[in-house]
Amino acid sequence: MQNKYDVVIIGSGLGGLVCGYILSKNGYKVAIFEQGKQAGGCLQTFTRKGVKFETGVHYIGSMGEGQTLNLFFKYLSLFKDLTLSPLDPTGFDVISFKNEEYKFATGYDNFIETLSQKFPAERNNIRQYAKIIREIVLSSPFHSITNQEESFQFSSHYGITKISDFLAQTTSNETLQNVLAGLVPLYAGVKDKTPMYVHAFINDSNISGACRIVGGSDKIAESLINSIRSFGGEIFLSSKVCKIICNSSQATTIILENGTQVEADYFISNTHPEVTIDMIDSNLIRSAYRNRICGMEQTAAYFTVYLKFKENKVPYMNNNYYHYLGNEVWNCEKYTQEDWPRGYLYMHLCPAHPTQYAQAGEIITVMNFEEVAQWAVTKVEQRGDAYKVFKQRKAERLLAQLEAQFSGTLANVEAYYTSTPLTYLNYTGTIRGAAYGVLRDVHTPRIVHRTKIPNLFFAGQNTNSHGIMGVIIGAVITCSELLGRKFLWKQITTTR
Amino acid sequence: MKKTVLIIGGGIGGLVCGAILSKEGYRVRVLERHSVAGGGLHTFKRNGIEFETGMHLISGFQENGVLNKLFSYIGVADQLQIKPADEEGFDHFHLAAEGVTYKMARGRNNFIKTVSTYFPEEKDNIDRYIQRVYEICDNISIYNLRAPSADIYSNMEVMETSVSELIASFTSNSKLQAVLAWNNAMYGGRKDKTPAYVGALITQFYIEGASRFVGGSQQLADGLVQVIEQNGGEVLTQTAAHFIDIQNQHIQKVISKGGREFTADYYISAIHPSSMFKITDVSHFKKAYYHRVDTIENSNSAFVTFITFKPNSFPYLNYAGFYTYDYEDVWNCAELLPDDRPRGCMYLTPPVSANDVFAQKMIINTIMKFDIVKKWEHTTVGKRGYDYYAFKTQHENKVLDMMEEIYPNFRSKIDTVFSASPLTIRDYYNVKEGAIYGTMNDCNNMPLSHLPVRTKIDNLLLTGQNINLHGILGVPLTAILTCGELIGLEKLLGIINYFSRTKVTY
Repeated sequence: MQNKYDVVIIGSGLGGLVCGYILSKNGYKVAIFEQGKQAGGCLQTFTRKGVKFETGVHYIGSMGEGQTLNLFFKYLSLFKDLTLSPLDPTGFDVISFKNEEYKFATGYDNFIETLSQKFPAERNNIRQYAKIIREIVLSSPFHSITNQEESFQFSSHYGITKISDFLAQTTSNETLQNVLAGLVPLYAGVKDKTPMYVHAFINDSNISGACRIVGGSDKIAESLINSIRSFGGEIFLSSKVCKIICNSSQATTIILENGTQVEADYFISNTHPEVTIDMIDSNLIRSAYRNRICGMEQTAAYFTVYLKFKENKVPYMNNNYYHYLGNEVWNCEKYTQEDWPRGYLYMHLCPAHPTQYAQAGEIITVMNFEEVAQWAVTKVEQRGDAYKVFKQRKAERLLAQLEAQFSGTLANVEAYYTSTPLTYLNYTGTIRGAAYGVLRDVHTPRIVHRTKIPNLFFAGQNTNSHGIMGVIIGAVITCSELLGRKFLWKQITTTR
Repeated sequence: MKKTVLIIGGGIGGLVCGAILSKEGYRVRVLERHSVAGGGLHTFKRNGIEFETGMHLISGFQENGVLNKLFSYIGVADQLQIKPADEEGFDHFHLAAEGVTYKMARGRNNFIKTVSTYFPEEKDNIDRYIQRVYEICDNISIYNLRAPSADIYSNMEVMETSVSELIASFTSNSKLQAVLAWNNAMYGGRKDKTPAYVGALITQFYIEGASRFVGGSQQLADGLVQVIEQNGGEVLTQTAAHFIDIQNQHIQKVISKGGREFTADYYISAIHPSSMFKITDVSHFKKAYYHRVDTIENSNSAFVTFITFKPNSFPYLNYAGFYTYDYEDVWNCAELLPDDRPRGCMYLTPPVSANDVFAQKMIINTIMKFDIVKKWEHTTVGKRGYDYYAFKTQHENKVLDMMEEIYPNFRSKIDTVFSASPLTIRDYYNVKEGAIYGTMNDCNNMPLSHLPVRTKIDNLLLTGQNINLHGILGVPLTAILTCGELIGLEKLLGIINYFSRTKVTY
């Protein structure tokens, strides 16, 4: 470790790694500091009994040739290390709502056709809906590769129209409204708060080619780290940054938990903004800004049951199954102890080698942080028996719901493991275990990548948008502060 | 055989007429276009939480209050759940520019005493002004359930003077003038236009008994429907009048949207007169009359922001808040500031139970001109275009910014926010330009803005907020006048006074 770098990046999640990649590729001397033992943030995986489980990124969209994310993956040299497995194009996602199954098919024409078969009277509305979400995506300069506008900021009516108003405008058919919003767990949306563009980006991205990553999403982190090292960048694991020291005008130094001080010209924080702000004790950060950042509402947190199946028993399900138990896909986070879970997402993991059977699956559902807050002071693996019992009880309830929908599955589960919002808090450092960080709310100003300290920037899911695409684009926006927008844009779009 | 009455519109006016007439031996039928009757009393549910649409601040239910008497006679008073607002300050008037909050206390003497503490040198003027306000109210016969001698309001002077002039005649202190007109944002009072008697009535009415419905205003509508049904009448919901068939100055029948034909001995239109003209052949009315009614200026509309709070995060306020930036703003609360922010608002936290500690919800009213949303006037609910929804969110944010000025960190207590614009109000209430209070009373042209309940059509009467006076006070009083045309006003008032002995205790 040197005592001075051009750029210090705090956190090795996707945003930090992409910033590290772009800046080291362009000649900056970069150091990335990660508090955990494993790099990758939401790209972390873990292995139990020889089976690898994913924790954050389960499938990615926009992977068709010529699609947005495809272009960014090329620029990030990811395809050399990645193999993708397309999900079922006739129904990559299945929304199970009020005892009916609705499929989302790949490509807009198929999407419209498949859904219109279920809602024949709504064909025009579905077509109009597809047109609008495409339009939203194209109006964002980074999502539409062809559209080179000066501004990076996504701005239009779509930024402050609520999903509820958007869906009401789309159709008066409430079932269809719910089905279209069926992927809400992918953005933890709140009907009257989340802006419609969040919904549009996620749905568009998936309709434009949804894939699993063969062998697990940690391959993305691994590939980026290898590239960064080849460009001369450095990554330090188990190196928690505790303080960002500022002089009267800007940030100068970080202090690690072990007391080591590292200087830099630029700082990029890929941690949760609230965590970042807590590291800074400088009057450059005014209390109004501090209060605003620290007072923001967080997205929902999740409880996951990881299933290891018996060998060659459970046929591989090449889609994602969104099941809802109530009368709406919304408000799953407003559950009571009696009606939890109000819905779940069930999927299989893509095996490293082709086989018709699944080795592993996951069931994900909302869990509020309050339920586990009492154990927040404990450490991983030392949280005590009460926590274990709590997790087991929750897992059993979730498994019972799965069995009700997919009968016979439980008999083929060899072992299962669980994670709670505390697990996320521990491994990703996100406040309250919030799956997608701060909630995008039409009534709250967004967090931008620039901070009140001129040489400190944010990256990661809390600025720009969340998800693989949102975070990569956010990282590009952050790096453009150093490299210049036009220059970086050109570099990305001329990649072959 | 009982005489039959068909009432078009199941708002407060229609239902009160229906209840009175059905009690007095008429066979009543009310046509209501929505699935639930209530009009301004109507409530709706969003995310499981019930919101009032129009009737938030009520009064007159205290002992000897005029509405207490009327609804006791009708027989619904004792089942209403009503909670008096804070005695020390039923309304709080925040003046942002000076950081002062004025409290309006219940009862004549308390009110004078409290306002005088802010303006000690004006004590005598305040005293004389309030005395005049009470005098005006005493002279309005119907407000005291007395039969009017000649006209409904026997004192022409207070009809032709504006409330702003009235106040100015007692004090030249412009701050005090504004403070005494604090409630403009509630009833849409306008400088040099709103007649003195309207301002006086509303001021006195609320000083005497400002209160809230616990659990929402729908309870009053439900009670009235029950009375109508118990007396052999019926309220047909989802039945919109489609055509009023008039021949020889006489209504022959009313045809509903579904094609049903209704005939009756008498018809009462309890909808906006302009809406009524749309469903009939206007050539049966004199051109001058039709033109006059159709061109009466409408009151302003409103932009209403509905908020639900996170549990136990925001206190229940037992008062209504009125917020403005500057004194002058109370007189032009419909005009936006240069940066399109509203000039002020009226907010309240409707009670869910009699002893709320925390608020479940808040309703914030800002007066808004219809012009602001005019460009979307040809759109319908749910299909107004994204620029409209974006406009709404933007305006919600301006309202929230304003609330942040009163309650720092207001946003962090909020669960959800949604809103109704003048267009929403227009389309749900079926009133032209979303005029929350219907037609405007203009002291400069009282004959024009004052409609008699009788018409040239011999079996058609009018009622509702567009005739005389709006609100929880004006509409029931007008209903008495309308019913008086059939029953005989003196007789009806006699009955009401006689049978209104039941007392409601809070």
